[in-house]
Amino acid sequence: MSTFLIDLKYAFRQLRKNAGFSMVVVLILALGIGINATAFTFVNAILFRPLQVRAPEQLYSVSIHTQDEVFDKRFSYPDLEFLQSNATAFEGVFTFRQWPLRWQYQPNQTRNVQTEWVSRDYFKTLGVGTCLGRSFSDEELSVPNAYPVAILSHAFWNRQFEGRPNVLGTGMRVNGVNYTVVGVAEAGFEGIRPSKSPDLWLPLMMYGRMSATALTDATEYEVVGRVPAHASARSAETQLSALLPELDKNFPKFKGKRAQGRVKLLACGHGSLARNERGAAWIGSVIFLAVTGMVLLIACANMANLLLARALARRKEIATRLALGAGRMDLVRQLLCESLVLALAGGLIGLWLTHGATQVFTSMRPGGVKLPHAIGLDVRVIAFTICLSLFTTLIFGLIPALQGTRVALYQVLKENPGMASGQTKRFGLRNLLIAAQITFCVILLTIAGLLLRNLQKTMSIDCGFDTQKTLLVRLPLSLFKEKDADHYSVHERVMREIQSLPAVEAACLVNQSQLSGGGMNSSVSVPGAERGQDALTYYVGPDYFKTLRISVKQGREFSLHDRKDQKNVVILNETLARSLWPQENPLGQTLSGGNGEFFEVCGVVANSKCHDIRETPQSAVYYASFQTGGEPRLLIVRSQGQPALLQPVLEEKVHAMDPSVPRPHAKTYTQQIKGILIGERFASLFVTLIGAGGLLLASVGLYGIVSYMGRLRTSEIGIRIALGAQRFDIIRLVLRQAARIIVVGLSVGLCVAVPLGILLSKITPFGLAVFDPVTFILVTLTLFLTALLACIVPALRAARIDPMEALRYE
Amino acid sequence: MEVQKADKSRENESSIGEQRQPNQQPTTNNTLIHVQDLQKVFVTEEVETHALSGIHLDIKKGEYIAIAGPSGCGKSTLLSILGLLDSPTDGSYVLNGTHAAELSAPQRARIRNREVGFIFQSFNLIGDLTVYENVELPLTYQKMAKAERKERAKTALDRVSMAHRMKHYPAQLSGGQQQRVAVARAIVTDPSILLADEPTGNLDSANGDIVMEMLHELHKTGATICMVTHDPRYANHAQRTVHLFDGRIVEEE
Repeated sequence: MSTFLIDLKYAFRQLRKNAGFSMVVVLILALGIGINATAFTFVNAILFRPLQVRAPEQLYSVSIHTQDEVFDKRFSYPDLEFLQSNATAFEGVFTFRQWPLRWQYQPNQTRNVQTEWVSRDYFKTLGVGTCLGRSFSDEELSVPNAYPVAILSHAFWNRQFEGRPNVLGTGMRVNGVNYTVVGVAEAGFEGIRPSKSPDLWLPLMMYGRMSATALTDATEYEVVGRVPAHASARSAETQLSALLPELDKNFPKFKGKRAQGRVKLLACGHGSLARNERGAAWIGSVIFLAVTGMVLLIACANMANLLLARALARRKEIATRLALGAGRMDLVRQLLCESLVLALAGGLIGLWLTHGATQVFTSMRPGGVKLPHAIGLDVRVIAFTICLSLFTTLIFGLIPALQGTRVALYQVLKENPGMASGQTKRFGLRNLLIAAQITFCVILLTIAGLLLRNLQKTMSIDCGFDTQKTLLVRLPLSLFKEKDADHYSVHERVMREIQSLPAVEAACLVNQSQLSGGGMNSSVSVPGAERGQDALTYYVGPDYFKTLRISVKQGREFSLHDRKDQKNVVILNETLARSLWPQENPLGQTLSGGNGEFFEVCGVVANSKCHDIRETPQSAVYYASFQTGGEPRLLIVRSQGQPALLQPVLEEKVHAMDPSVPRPHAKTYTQQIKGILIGERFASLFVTLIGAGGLLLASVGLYGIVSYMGRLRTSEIGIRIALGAQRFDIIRLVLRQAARIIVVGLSVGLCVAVPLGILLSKITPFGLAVFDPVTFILVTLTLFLTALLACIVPALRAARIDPMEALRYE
Repeated sequence: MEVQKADKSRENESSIGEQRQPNQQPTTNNTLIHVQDLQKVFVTEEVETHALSGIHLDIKKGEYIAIAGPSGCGKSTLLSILGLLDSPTDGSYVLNGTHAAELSAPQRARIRNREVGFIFQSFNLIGDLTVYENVELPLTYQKMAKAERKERAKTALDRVSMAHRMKHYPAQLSGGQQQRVAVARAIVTDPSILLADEPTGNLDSANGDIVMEMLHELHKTGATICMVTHDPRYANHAQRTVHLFDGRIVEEE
């Protein structure tokens, strides 16, 4: 212990005496550790962080596994009631559903909120109470459509009501239904899926007031139960499996399949994602941490080089200590202790940077992504940071410590200050470390390049309609709620107002549009056919295809005359038309829609992208919104000129239709597509920034080593100049030596990057190109030129060496 | 400059460290160092340089010996082998009854720490440590208790009259003072032999004389000293001078 304290004392003294060096090392490490700890903070929040509930490790999500199917998130409400009455393996069982809905407090306060609809025992099972007011009563959670009460989340209460205690009893409207606030949940509780943390909790029994579907008809409930502390999940599974035959009688839709299955319980008391999202999240997290880890390795390699140089500068001290009887391990321990102090200082600052970064991220919510409020430092993040610091100590401290203590003792003790001897091997190691940095840079930049190229290709995909000059804006709901307002009159009114604007070429109203997050699958069939066919379904108004410039291949598009009192008509895209009538003309044919009504095909339009910009042609069916009901609230406008000029005017016009709601935001289809590609864009930007940072670090490292090489060869260069070498010869000499390192790093990097690109193309959802020669050529050129640029200054400096001075030095 | 007499007796002169090593041989006839047919060859890029060729040398306890010769004759190489800083290519070297060839790296470090005191031409004090810490340093490698370290370091500094500068850093001292501190560091472990490599090489004549006087005083108190020098004036301080030329002993006087 006493030896360790002495080592520690010397380590602090070294830090103090070499403040500049220490500061550089600590800052670079802080950056490397901070980036990694920040990345881990997100991974922790998404995958590991326990929910803010009582004993989260006891919470399990129920699924039934049969030979053919897995039934998870496929429970009915009677299933839940059966489990609540019979599943003694659980202390409590509940279910919940989440929806983003429209919330209105005052006439001028309207916004979208995340709601969570909860069953009986939700709060009791989770062990969560309220900080104000009360929780839902059993009656409120048991009687259908009787108690419109709501509990606010603590964050929402603070945000919307400034934490006022008189919020209790306040009325508010959620999707047009009045609710009364009865409580505020305790601080920190973000529901069971913090990635979609609710603003409001509502009784699931009020579900019927919001949806035409009866509560008992839905079969998409996830069931969560709490296993008692003294019981194991395995024994609970056995008990629950024994209940399956009886459970299955409750819901004959599954035809007895579940009775043959076995219950599996999956821990769900940690992380912020639903079970089905976890697989992709794990892959993403590993890639995310691997990318940030590479920056740390580059930083470590850089640090190792700096410490090697320092060890070389301290070789006389090290030799003296060895001569005085220090064992090599004594000195390795002492040097490691110095590295540890640096790494811990770096870790501490890194932790501080992480804290700041997570606060910035959670307040910014990049790309509109809703991050869990619980992102931040906790024991796991701190432990991860400490582990990173120890890891970096080993990585960047051990190599220089081992290398630095391997000295030719007497030779070093006898040498004059400034003379370097026995550096040949160390020099090799330094080269190796720089080559390793370049290798990591190649890998990072290749991944970034592949992502960017992929994004570029994706953005230039032909969507099948004009995305450049079209604007999307959502109309206020109040337009459709006005007395005597039908869709036709709303359409007429809106069109009149919009067409009056200059620069509007065409406009239409739709329920959902392509690539706008809407659209659902429904079944269509030819009358008399045994089986129907799934098709993406859109409800659109007149001039939809004209506005989007989707080519009408046959027939016509919808007009103002396609109303409820007229013949039902439908438009198909080419894929669906060909699929339903491969040999016949689809025009005039009759089609059976999902609700059993019949429609006549009045037109066939060209294929266009529906859900995803990268999808292959999908079957799509378009119904006339005047005939099929629903509220066509999405206004699409084609601009004659630049859409950016029309955007504010359009927003103002729509706002004027109902000034009581917030001003709407109009966006172009290009912006809409960018929003869809937020994942790719974020990943590309992130990896590019990380790659650029890595390149900067590696360039600094290369600059350092080339300068160092120049210093080592001072006398040799002096002799060469004395013998008649030109400046260009010296520059070439230095650059040639640097180029060798760069080429080695590049070659190894490319050898690793190619198979890594193939691997990434298989495991990421972005559809990366397996081999993109342009990316590889650009990365190679960028790196080579940047690295050479880093060598130019030291090479020029070497060429300016005064031979007389150099030889005197010798 | 008078070197005060060491207050610790050399009760355990024949042992290496605190315990007898497994490969230690009992010494006979008071010989501390026994070197026989010692060879050292440096091989660099296919060129062989014979630094030492067939050296035979015995040094008795309490003896003061000078190794002299022109530059490149192998003086320093011989001293580095005697100090276990380097290994011979061939031949045998027995230090205080221990065959050096049979020692592992940690054992060599341990013997260097306890049996050998080094005085270098360029002092080789550690710039980041104070005078006191420099002198204390060999004792810390013995895992000695702090109080004892302090007492012994202070005693060693007293012996070279540098105790009043113990909180200074080497850069704050003159060359002569630095070498006196280096002498204190060499004697603080009470070693069996002091190896001095051109101890006056970086000093002016006045300071050189002071250091030589100090070595003389140490010898008078019983220290065994082996000094490398190319200056005949200082070689005369020794009881015996061995002349090297081209890696061989050409004369003893």
